[in-house]
Amino acid sequence: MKLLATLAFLLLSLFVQAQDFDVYRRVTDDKVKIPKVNQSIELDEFQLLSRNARMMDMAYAMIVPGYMHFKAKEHKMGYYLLGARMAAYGGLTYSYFRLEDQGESIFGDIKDPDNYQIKQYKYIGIASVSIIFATYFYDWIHGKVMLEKKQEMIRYKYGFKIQMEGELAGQSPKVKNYPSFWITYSF
Amino acid sequence: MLKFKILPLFVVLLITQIGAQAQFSITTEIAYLNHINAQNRRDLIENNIPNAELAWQGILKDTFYFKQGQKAAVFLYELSSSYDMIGRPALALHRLLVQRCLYSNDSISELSKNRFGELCYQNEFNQSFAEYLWMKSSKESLSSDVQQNLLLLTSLSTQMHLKELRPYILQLGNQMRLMDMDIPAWYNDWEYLVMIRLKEKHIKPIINYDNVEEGELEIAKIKSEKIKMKVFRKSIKHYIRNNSFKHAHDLVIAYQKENQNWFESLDLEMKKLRIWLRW
Repeated sequence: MKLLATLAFLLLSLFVQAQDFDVYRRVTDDKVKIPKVNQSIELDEFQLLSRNARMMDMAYAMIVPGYMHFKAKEHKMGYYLLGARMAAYGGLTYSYFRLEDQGESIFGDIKDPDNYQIKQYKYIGIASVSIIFATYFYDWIHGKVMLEKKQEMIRYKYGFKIQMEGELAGQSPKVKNYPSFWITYSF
Repeated sequence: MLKFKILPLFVVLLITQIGAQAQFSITTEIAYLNHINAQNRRDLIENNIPNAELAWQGILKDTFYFKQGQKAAVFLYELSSSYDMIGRPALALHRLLVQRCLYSNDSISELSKNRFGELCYQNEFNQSFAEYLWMKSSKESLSSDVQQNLLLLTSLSTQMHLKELRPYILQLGNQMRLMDMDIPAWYNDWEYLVMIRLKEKHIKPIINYDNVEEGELEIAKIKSEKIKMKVFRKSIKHYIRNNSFKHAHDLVIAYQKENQNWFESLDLEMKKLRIWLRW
């Protein structure tokens, strides 16, 4: 059974394309492909268009606070998130050691619920954890939205202009130009 | 052998690619500016500004538009509206001024009269200066010579004393050089003072627009003592920043001849140390 499963896994590589993790073969090598760039396109726009929010970015955003915003070229917000997360890590560390001195932990069980008075450091710890999660989800969701919004804006702009140029040149927008010849090579 | 066969083919392909990926035409840029201005969407307008500025650079370099300026005039009017909508009155006013000086158009002049005044007030200009700008850039005051108009535009632009306009005025200066014009001394002075990052309020009393003869700015001859010391300090700082230590040293020698207070002496010693350390 194990052998069959392994074989099936290996056979998948014949028709499945790589996405985030390069487990399977890639059809094209992105680094060899040189795209056509219009003279009006700026580097920032080119970078934004070639970026996507992928599953792998969720993991990166956990490690690097504000990662998605940096990816979407929202640097200001990226640094805010970085600062907030750093402050939250500081708060968490502070509350952890303070509570440890008193023989408690942030999410530890309460031994005597009737005579228990909640410590201020617990609030700091809980607030810090909340900030860490809030900044993470905000970074991921808002960053993705911003990236997509910016991409839409760029596509809208160049879509309009390219269509307009085609009309000026006497081409119908529906007419598609095909190259007269094409050269491909493979290793 | 194969290499020789493929190389010309590659060159042809490359040329075809470059041709196909050229900049958009001015008609397209006007249509898009008009399209987004009508929507009044700040994000769309801000997103298009770098493209519009790139198109403007193309227009400025193309002498064709100096003769047939209708499209350039409409483009600049739309660009000015874009800047106005995103709350950048300095550039909105400057784009209108460029249009008036270089691509004069009666219809646009009528259309933009009120907005021109409004933009002047938004830039904190008084009424007399607003009227001066309007009159100087009116069709009657313009010359038939494009070079004279470009010089007038540059002069008016520097007189506005808005820091935001500096790169755009330098762009006009580059165009004057490209057109092989005689650059007046006041412009060279202005360019130098901008290069050393002097504030506009300090530039204002230094520039003498009657000075058209060639020659470098003589810092020691600046009348205001306070501004003279500032220009010295900024100049030395500029040359240290750019690792031109020998010239900075020459300026230090000239600066030492001036009367300095204790703060300026301290600053001078620090600068000397930096020159000595090459830091």
